[in-house]
Amino acid sequence: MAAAGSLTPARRQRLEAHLACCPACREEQQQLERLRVVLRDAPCPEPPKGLVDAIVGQVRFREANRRRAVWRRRFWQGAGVGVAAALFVAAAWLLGPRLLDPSEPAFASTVEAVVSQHSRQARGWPPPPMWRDGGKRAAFPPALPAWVPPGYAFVDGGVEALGDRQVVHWRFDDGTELLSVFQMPAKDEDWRRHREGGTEVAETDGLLVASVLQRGYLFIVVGRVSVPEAETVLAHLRPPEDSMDVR
Amino acid sequence: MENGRKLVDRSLTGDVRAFEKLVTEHYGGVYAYAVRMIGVQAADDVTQDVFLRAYRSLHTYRGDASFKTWVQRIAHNVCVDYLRRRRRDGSDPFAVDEVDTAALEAPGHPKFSSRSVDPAARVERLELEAVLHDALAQLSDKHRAVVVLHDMHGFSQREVAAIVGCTVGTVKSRLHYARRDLRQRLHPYLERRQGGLFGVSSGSA
Repeated sequence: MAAAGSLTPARRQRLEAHLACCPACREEQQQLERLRVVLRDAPCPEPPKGLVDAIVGQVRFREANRRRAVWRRRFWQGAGVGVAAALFVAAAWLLGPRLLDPSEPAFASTVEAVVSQHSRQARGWPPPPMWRDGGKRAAFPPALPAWVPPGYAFVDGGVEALGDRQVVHWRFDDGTELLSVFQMPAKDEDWRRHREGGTEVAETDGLLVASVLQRGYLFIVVGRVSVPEAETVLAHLRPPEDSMDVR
Repeated sequence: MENGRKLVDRSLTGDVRAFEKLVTEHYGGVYAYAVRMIGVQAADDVTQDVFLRAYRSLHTYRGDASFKTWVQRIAHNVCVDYLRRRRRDGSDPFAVDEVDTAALEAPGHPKFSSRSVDPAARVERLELEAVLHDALAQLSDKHRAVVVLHDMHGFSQREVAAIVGCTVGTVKSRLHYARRDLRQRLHPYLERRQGGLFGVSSGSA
């Protein structure tokens, strides 16, 4: 009966007909109606003053804490990134040439190869002719050294294989020492190591090794010469002539 | 007035003033429900707990129900947790909150709002408040929850079902038994009174 309001019209009509002839149900229905009003009109408990302030105060406190935590987290994240960046810069500075220049091992092996080639040929003195069979034609136009230190004279020259590279090798001697000038097509790692036209100088086993990157070729001078002499040799390489055969 | 969804969105950005508006709008209902469910003693703390939980859970508010219903569901859960805890501790949650009619008459008592200044009506009101409070306290938690939410706070049966987490059919059933119990407990009073019981006429509503 309490749900009389939600009855269909037909059922409500039947209910009303029953209530009209049943005093007990009518009394119950009236009491339920009064109860509904009692509950509806019961005074609403009033919240104490200051409850909103107490709630909002706690929320503000939590929000402030949360923001502080966010800033702390960001600070430490930033600090972490800063430290990582500093470590990276330090590592790059200390190990830069090795870390940042993958050409180093390749270039080192190239230098090692030309020095070995030079030394092997210098061991048997006077150096045996390199190309008894007339040699072969270079796959690229070779450049000729136009200047060598005083006392050195041209011995011979030819094409050799150095690792996976074809090189043109000119030899000069002063009667006791051999001076080699190598030319090979530059690789990517050579470009990373050398500035165009800039000379790199190193000394290995008492031999001076000077290299320069010019016109897409790597030129290396190996011999017991001074740095200025080696640089002068490299500075006086005659431009390649397409028609020149190396024999 | 800004709607709940917008205020929730603003609150989620850390705008405490927006949340304060939500609290101001809904704390009265939550507090009243807490008083009727667990008694006046812990109603303050429970109301604060409800809104702090609501603040922490704002990101879960999807907006498919009104904010009032959403926060009322939290209030219901907090009250149920409280009652369960009290019973586990071996204490009767409502026993600590007997209606003190003398205290109710004290000026400025926050518990119930005064609707009548007529001395006779005031006495009757206090008497009924005490009887009603006692009758509600005798109901089971589940029955008390649905009758308070539906008959006293005006939530629809569907909303009550969403708040207490049951079906509408269960709500109807619980309402039936709760009203039957209340009618029996308030029977002498309901029989005696033909007019409004709180100084309000009992017209059909």
